[in-house]
Amino acid sequence: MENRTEILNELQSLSPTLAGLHGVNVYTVPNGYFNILSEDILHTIQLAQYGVIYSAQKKDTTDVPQGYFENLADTILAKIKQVDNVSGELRRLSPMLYSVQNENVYTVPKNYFEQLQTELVEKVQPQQAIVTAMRKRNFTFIKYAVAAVFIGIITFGAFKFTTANKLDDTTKQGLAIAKNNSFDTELDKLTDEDIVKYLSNSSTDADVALIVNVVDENELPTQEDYLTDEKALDNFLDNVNLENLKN
Amino acid sequence: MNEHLDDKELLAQFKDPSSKEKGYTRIIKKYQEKLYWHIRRMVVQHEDANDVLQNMFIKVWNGLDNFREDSQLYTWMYRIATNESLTFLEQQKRKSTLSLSDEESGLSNKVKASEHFDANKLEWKLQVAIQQLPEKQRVVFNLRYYDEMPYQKMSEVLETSEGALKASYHHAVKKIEGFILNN
Repeated sequence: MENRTEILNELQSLSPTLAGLHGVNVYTVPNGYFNILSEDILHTIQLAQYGVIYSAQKKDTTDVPQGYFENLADTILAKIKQVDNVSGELRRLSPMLYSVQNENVYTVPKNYFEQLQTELVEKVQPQQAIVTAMRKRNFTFIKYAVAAVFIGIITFGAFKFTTANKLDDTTKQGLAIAKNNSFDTELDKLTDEDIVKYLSNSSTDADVALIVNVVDENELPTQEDYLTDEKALDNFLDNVNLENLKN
Repeated sequence: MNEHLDDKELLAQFKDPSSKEKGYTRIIKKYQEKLYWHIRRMVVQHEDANDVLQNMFIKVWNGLDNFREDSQLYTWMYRIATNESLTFLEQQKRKSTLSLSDEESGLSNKVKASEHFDANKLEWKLQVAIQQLPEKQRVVFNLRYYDEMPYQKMSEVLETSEGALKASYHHAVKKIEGFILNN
């Protein structure tokens, strides 16, 4: 086997530069590191044997704090004493409890743990949004719309078929509503009873049938139209073919 | 006087339950510095070297009962130290998801981050140059250059032919020399 001289001669022949640097150590090691290393490792092994996971705090530095290694063994021993061994502690405190420590008196349903994962996954998966079909138009709404038509007819009928000299209170009121553009407000004040009363006094089933016939259901304002445009009903009424009603 | 026990005596102490810890402590004390520096030159930083060294000695503790004395304790421990160092570097690489060349330059950066680093000094240039080598070649260079390990022993540690090791070492020396001269 080669001796040291042969190894150095080989280096000298390969690179005198590197041979000249041989033996220079640029790295340093903390003072006393090697004095306590064996103790340090033995403590780590003892910790591992007692089932305690030892995890040295790792610092990303190139240097070690002064005195770190001198105190390391003491620090680890102190930790061992603090942590203690759970089983050992119980054994000292109560041999009886220690002897039954691993006895489990509880049971779980058959295949519980096998199914648990699937169940949990199902629970945590995002649920599909509930889709609710919106009704195209509610019949009740149509009824109110028809009632609104009547109100409009009252107003416009009064305007069209009466003369200025013969205006009664109702017509005046209708004109005032038209003038103030307060139709919606007034409409809100009408009760179902008012509508029924009006229909029984001044119209017949034929009138209702006629109006319904004239009004194209598809052209009735929707709920959204009322919400977004306060003149929705006005516009609708403007488009109603009153000539058909009159005839 | 006990510090001069040879490996056979140390192993006998370790295998005797009454003196197991004492034998183990003596094994550590006998080889700790050589192994520490071998690891340190691979991983550069002391904290990392300390971690790897401790893991390595714990593996020695766990494996020593089954250690076959047909190979030398010294060679066997060097093999563990080398493998632990390479495993550590591999883990570091995976953690940082760096490529091999990035990792190597990462080690160079660690050298440059050393407290006393001086880019103008030849000895520091040498350290940076060593980190440019591929890992296996670096191991070969370190074992030969610093530990003055004969090729025969190195062959046992690295389980590689002496011829391949010699070629690897010669290449490494030339690469390092070239790096130093050009930087």
